Amino acid sequence: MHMRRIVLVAVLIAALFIAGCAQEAEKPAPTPTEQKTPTEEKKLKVAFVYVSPVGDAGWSYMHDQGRKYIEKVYGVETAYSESVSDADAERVIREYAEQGYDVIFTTSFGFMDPTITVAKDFPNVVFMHCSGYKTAENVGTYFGRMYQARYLTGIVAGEMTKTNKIGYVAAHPIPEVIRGINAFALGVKAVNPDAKVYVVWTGTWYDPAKEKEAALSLIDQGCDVIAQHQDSPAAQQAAQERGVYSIGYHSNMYEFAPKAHLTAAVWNWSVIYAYVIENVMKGTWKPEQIWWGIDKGVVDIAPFNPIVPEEVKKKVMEEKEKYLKHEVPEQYPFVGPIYDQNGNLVKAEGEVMTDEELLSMNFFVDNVVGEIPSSS
Amino acid sequence: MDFIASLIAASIRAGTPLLFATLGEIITERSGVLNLGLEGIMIMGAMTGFAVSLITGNPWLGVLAAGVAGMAMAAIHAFFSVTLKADQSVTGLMLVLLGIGLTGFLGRSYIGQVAAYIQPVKIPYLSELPFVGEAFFNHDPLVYVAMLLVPLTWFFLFRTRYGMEIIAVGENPEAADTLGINVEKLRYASVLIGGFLVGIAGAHLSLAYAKLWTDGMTAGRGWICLALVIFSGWMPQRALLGAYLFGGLDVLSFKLQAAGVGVSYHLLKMIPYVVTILVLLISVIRGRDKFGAPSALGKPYIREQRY
Amino acid sequence: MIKIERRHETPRWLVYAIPFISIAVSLLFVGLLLLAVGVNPVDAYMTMFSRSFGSKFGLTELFVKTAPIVLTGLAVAIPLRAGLWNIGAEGQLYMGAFAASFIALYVSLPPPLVLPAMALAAAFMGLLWASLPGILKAKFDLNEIISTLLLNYVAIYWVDYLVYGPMRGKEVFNFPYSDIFPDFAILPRFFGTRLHAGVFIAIIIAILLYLVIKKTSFGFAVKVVGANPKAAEYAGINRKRIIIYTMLIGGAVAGFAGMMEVSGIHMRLRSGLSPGYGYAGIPVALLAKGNPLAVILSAFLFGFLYVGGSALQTTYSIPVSIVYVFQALIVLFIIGGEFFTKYTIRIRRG
Repeated sequence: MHMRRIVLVAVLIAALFIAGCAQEAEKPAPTPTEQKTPTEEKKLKVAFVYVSPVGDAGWSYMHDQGRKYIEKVYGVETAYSESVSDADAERVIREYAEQGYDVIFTTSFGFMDPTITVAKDFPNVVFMHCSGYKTAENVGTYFGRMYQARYLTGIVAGEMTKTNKIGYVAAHPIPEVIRGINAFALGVKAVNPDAKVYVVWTGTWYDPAKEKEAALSLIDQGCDVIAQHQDSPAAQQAAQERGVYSIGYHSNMYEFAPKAHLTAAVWNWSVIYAYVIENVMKGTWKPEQIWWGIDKGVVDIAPFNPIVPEEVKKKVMEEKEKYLKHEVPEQYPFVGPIYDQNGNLVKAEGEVMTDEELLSMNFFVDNVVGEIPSSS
Repeated sequence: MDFIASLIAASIRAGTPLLFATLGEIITERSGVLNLGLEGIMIMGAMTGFAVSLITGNPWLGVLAAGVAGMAMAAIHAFFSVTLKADQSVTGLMLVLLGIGLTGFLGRSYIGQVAAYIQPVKIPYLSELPFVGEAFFNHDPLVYVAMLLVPLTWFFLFRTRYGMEIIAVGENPEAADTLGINVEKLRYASVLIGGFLVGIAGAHLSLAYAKLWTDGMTAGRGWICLALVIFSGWMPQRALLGAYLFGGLDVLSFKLQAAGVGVSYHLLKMIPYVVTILVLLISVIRGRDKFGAPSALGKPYIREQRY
Repeated sequence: MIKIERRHETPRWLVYAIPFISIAVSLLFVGLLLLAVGVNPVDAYMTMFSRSFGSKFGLTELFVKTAPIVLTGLAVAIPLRAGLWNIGAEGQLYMGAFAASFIALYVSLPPPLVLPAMALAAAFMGLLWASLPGILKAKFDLNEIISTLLLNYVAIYWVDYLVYGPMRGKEVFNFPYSDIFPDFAILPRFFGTRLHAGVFIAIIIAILLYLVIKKTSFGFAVKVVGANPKAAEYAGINRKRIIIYTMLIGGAVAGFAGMMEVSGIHMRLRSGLSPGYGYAGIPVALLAKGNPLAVILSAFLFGFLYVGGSALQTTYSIPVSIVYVFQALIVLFIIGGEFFTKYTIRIRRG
């Protein structure tokens, strides 16, 4: 009797198979990209793959703002998947490619290999990977010089701390995060050489409960300004709860912690998305590695909390002007003298770090307290 | 000293949802029903509590709603386990899937929202005391409710008739049945009570502890509670110790990092489970009678069936 | 009053109808959920079907998702025949993945031997991981549900610990992964899709286990132990040995699933290897009533749910977690339905 049931189910599956094939055959064939009637442009299909929920008020939220922008301004058809883990990324990217999307933005470092792998099978699709470094014929990368904004927020933190202990809740010890910490610390150092930046690793981009716990442990240690490289505002809330200050990240996190939030280092992806879509539409897209800074508006600092004193605001805006007016190299503040935690002079006075050195940064500057866990 | 005081405070904070759920499951299991669905029930409670607090602006309504949601989920388990006499493990596991699935799906719109939260209260005078003030007297009200619940549960189980009947039903349902005790009704009741408490555990998580909602936020706490029930030998007072201990392990890694000491977060996370296994091993090797578990745990009671 | 009565015999049609009715009712429920978030259920279901069955990509993804579930289904089904619940397939999978990764990255062997060595190591590691609960159950009657469950977490955190620590790769920029496996440690893929060789091996294993259960005296002993432990003792069957052996088989199969995932899909060791395949094996085994061939089919059903759910995610931006709701509902309704094969409800007056 078991066999009969098995046969029955097998027949059912076969029936489904046939039905599915028929279904797919009935669907109108997807418009091939080459076909363009002179009067009507085929709508560009753009997909976004996010690593955390869009509502995170952080990383994915800002990317989604960019998506909404190009949808509105360029009239493209967009879709997105959120909370895609690194392990699921290949499947999701592949799905979009299979479904005929023309441009796919993959917005997490961990999506790098899956993007490259899928791109090989779909040479006609444009893939843009955020925060990575691998490119291919149809794969470009894009990122922002967030460290510039981090530096500016570091100035605020350095000025506002009273205990001279500043906490930093950090996700993964990858160069991007380390770079942000260092730039922040350099900003602190510029106005307050006695202050130190304490780093706690959470090991996750997005886990609000963990982020909060990490922030609280820093506050318990005496830190009175909390900064973060995380995708949720949990650390900001922790700061507000305990009556200390905080620096937001990704978006303006003021509404989550109006008493604590001083400013934030924020993204504006619309600039880059607009650039890419325009190029694709005009057929001028090339696989480049886009890395734009505060002067192009890709990164910025959020409006100051009213409690930030005027002199501090002035100092920050002066430094920001230097970027806007190109008075300093793009890599500023990574201009020597820079010392690491062991006191070694990593960059001599006046020497500027190269982009390559920035991209592979794997040490902390001297006023950072914390370890970079490295593979043995 | 300060480090230890803040560690204790953090352990109590982190352990409170564990305590609520463990006490609930102890009651359930004492009646002989194994509810593996804690993770699903807890996260439903977390989402429901958050949602209701968001909509009504009253976190305590949220807590109540979370308890009710927990009861509703548990009712499904009770129906399948007690009335339909189905296998309890499978139903419980399906509750986990159901809970995680439903909350992932329905809870999307609540991510990133700010609801009305439960704030910590400074107990007058006591919270000013050095060391113990910070450690014990500066928590949100639910923490104290959980602590109170420990002796209450103990009293309920071991000193009231209702509670003793529940234990009897869990140890020997046939004998209880012949004594005229309504096995099914008692099991239903204990599963529902348990579910209520687990739902509240979830509400504490989203409204008091983390003060936000995101999918998957229970992060395995439900499973830890199952281990905790075993660890505590089905005794409420041991649950108190276990919950704060396990909660503390969770936060220990960050505290150590912040203090400059590097310890693997994951090895620390393993400890509750390894410890529970050891506890199991020890009590079993010592030959103690079923390591304290209710004898009829996990077996459906069918009146005419002879084993 | 409503009385629940045991049936004397079960109508044949009911036994077959139940899985289908359950699926249909679940579709209804989930359809309501979809409506609640503004998605047309009919459209959604059409999408799920056409995506899974209507394209080369969909079909291969179906196989790719089904293969580990076949294995974990078997890992649960075999002990289930002996009356045991192997809730630990997830942990056994992870441990298998760990062992396979270790061989791939650190043990130098002639390339053609690497994949078989990984498979063997993974199966062995899974077997080891299941042996403890098996022995504890056999010797001390320790509830295997709890012991296997606890070990799951130890295994998952163990792999986390490895990828954040000693096994973290050198070329991964400090991310918590191991390095990518060398080419000869990766299961070959077909048709430019993710369909890898492991899929076929999984089916072969299922067939093999079916034959073992059906044709061998060991298989017979397992069935007896599961149906009636006391009768087994009287028949001279060593119940304790059977318990341990079935757990070992279950662990080995789940361990191999781990190797398959890590070598065929991820190509490195990382956390989050499995979206709950080990747990999916439980309803799969239950639906199949422990029959290894039927496991293949019920695994397909769950694989379809995963793939369909993925299609829903990319098309409607619905979280993948809707798949879990489906899984849970189907199983619950099937269990509920099975109740009606054993009992019937009579409504009497007075």
